Amino acid sequence: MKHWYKILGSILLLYVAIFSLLHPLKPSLVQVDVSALHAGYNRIAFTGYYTHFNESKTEAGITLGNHFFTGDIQVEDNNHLAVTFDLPDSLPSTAVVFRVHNEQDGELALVQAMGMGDIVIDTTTDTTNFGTYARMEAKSAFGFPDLPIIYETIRNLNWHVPMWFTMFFLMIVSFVNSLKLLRVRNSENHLEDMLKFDIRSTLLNEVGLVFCILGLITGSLWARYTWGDWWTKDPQLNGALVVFLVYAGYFVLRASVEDADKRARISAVFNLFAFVLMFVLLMIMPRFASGLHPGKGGNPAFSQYDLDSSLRTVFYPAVAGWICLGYWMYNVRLRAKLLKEELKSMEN
Amino acid sequence: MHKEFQLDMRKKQVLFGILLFVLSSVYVCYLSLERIDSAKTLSALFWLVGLFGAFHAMTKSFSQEEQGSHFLLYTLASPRSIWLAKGIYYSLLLVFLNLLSSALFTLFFGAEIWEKAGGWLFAFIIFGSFGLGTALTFLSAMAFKANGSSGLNTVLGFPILMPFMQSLSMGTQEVLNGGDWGSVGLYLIILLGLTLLSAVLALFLVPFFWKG
Amino acid sequence: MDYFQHFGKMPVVIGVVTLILAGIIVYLSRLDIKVSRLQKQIKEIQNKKNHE
Repeated sequence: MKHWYKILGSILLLYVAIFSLLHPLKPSLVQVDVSALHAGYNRIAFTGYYTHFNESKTEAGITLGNHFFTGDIQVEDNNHLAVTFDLPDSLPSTAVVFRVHNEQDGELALVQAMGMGDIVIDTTTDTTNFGTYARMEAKSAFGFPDLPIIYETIRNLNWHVPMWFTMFFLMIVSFVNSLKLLRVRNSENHLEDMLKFDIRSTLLNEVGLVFCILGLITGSLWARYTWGDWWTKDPQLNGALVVFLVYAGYFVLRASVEDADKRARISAVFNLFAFVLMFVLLMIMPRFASGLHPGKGGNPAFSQYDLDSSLRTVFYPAVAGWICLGYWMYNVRLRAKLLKEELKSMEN
Repeated sequence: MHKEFQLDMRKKQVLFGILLFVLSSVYVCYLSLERIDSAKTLSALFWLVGLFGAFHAMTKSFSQEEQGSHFLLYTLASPRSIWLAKGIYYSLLLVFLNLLSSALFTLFFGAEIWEKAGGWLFAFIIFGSFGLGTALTFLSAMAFKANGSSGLNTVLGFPILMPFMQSLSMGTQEVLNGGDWGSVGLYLIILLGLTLLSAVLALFLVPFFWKG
Repeated sequence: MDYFQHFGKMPVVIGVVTLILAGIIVYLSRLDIKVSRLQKQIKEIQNKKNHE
């Protein structure tokens, strides 16, 4: 059935729409409510994010090296708990780590700058009476990575990045069509064959340009709320802008040539040139440069994001889905255009 | 190539027009800025002048083809060699222009471009001019074949030249700030790569659209 | 950043996004069907012409 990709694309994208938003982030400990510790009585409230304090057995406290200080735990709800415990008069160092261990979330840790109040820091402190901490096995709960600066917007990965993949895919097909066009030898159907490929590569470029614009806009929006600026001086951003301008120039070039034969050939040549330029600018150059956008010095799109398997379950379907949808858009436009041509030739 | 040179020598006013353009651009910069303190501004301005000078020169190079006497030449020579000749000539012209403009910058601003940067700057000028030259010649060839006005030239040329300009500008900036091979070399290599890319692409693609 | 999980509101966002996507897909499908219908019509007319 020749409509397979349309149904597949629709299903995949609906799945992505739901689950890119429904999946939780990995649980994490985000803050504690005190800024200084005291000798003796301490009561600290922990705040978690996407945690399940209320749902399974939870332990919490402070660790210092191998030592563990804990006491009464009061769980208020899934994200809040309070621990009451005693600290001795002197401690060997200030390297305290706040920890929560939960059966569902695994082990969560937080390092926050702490004043030491009236505790004396003495490296020779007698630590024999301190409780020891048995490290639990690290558990990786299911969820998108919770990364600084980005936090929840990591879900955007499933929307912004597929735009570029789709554009790339459409441009590749357009490139192939241009190649085919230039290899048409003089024959009887010379002009018709050329025009066939010409229409296809033009429409592919058109839809590809739409995705390029969408990618730029979504990227800019994402940047504004994570990096603080609508645009930065980054090789990938600048490269993407150049790619947009070059493909826009493709259409300007087409508009300035009257003769269909010449136009087909010239735009095919320009298309080849534009594609190579795009490949260089987006896939090769960023590997050597530095900037804010992820993917320098290695793979031009991913860094630590895609290694996380939970993201992959939504990201790969998103790319596949958008490619299907992009191709569907092109296909409908192609058929409509061919129909117009047919009608025109029938009227004559 | 000889032909190109002869042609330009014959029409001296064309060449002078471009020279005048470069001179006046630098002078205008001088009038408004009087002093350039930062390396960033200096390199940006220098290459900006270079860019517009290049555009200016390019519109002249192919628009002269309107005269019928050239058609004979074109039917005899292969499109590749025509392009190569024009490209090399044009790049050399740009080298000359940029050297001239750097001299003007030194004159007006007392900016010790040559003292500070010396060899690096020369390398950048050479690489940059050849890069701009090859890419622009390719584009103007296409625009010419497409009944181009100079408007088309600019529209097509501008985005394609942006990577060049960026490498040039950032590279010169590094050089003026006293960089070493580590930071500067990267830009030179990028420029070289871009130049080679456009040259190879052009050599490969020119025959395809030259007929007709 | 709001540390307090407002997950209760998330289904709203999911609903909105799904609705938008579904709308786009429905629009595409209708266009597609219209174009196919036109294609069929033209084929029929051409066949008629050929048989004449």
